[in-house]
Amino acid sequence: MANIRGALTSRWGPIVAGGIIGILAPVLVYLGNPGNMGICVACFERDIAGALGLHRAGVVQYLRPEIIGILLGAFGAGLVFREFKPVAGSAPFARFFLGMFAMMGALVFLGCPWRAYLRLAGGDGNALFGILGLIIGISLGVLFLRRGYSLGRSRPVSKALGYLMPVCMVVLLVLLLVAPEFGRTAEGQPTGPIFFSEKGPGSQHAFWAIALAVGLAIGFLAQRTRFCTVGAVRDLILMKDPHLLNGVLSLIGFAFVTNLVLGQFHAGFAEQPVAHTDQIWNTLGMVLAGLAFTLAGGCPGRHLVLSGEGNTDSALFVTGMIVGAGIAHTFSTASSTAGVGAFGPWAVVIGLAFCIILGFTMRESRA
Amino acid sequence: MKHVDASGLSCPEPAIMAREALLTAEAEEVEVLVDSVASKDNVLRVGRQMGWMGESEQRDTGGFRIVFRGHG
Repeated sequence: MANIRGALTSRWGPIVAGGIIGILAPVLVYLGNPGNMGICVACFERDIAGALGLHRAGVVQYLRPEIIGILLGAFGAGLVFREFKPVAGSAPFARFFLGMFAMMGALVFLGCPWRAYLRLAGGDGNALFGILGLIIGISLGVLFLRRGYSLGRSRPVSKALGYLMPVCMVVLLVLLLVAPEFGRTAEGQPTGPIFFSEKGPGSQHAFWAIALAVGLAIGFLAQRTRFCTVGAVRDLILMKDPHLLNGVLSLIGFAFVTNLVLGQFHAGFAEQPVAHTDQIWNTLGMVLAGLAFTLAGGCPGRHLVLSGEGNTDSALFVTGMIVGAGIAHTFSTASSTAGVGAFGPWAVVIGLAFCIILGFTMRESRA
Repeated sequence: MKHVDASGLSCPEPAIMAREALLTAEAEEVEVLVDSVASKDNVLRVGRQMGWMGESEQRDTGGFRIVFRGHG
């Protein structure tokens, strides 16, 4: 166990984690997940929002076990390695809104940073614009960090509060498996409480136990190695530290090779799976997402892991992302393969304004 | 000794604060307080990259106290 601990927390950690994620994600696509969407924290939380009835987009409703697995895998790692530390109190309401706008930005591009890199590894040229936007957004976040931006200190809280989010994930798993149905309309449409897409990306998923197992493995690895796709770019810009970036490069490399082996690599811009070619908004959507993730301290996968470790401020960020997904679809700000949603640009502009105001106004005495 | 209290602050603030303190410290000792293993590892790595020797010890409160000595 000591050797595992040593290897994963060493400089090889992110490389190992990225490599394993890079192999497992395309395998999930092979086993039924949507194209280039082996793992997408934003898309999957959006699917969970749909499954819970937080939006009515029938094609994206499914309680994704990958999200449940990542959080619970991190929870398990935290308990085993004594890093489970429930905390709370660092500008929770701000974090909720950061989560909301991060999700709205990601849904304009149709992917979180994990998926941006996986799309690239699948040959999707549109991802180049998303990654460009991500880098711009993270750079803006770094400017604020350098000026002294801070969401303030958290403090330790009871173990019970720390267990709450992991318990919520177990509840979601039970709901996935039990699939309760309260009734149907006259036309035969289910009325909930849990919805399952019958067509579209929400209906495309690997077998739940495999998706859950992959999520658990990724959550464990990501917790041990502090894997973070936003920290990867941020730390390079902020401190010339490539430690986390090596993990992202490893992810892209291994995913690329796995896609080739599985016949899932298709280079191009048009007709890419769950993607669109509106490059201005592919870029600007991810500028918003990158900025919001940086102001919140990490990529959405990292926040799932931190939630599993008992960080309730991150849990509120995750909750904000799920609620944000509901709003994104109800208010037509989310994109589709046809292009940007009717109010997608509004969401990006409002979100950027929020993040910029937050960046200028949030400080903490750093004596 | 220069004191930096990064307790309760989330990534990347402890690393940023440690870096700023080490940049302006010259030959002094620098003490950094953090409250998670990840922050401790990040701060130690920052110091190592800047050529400082760092040692950490656990605090009673469950966090860590890192002391950097002598620019290496």
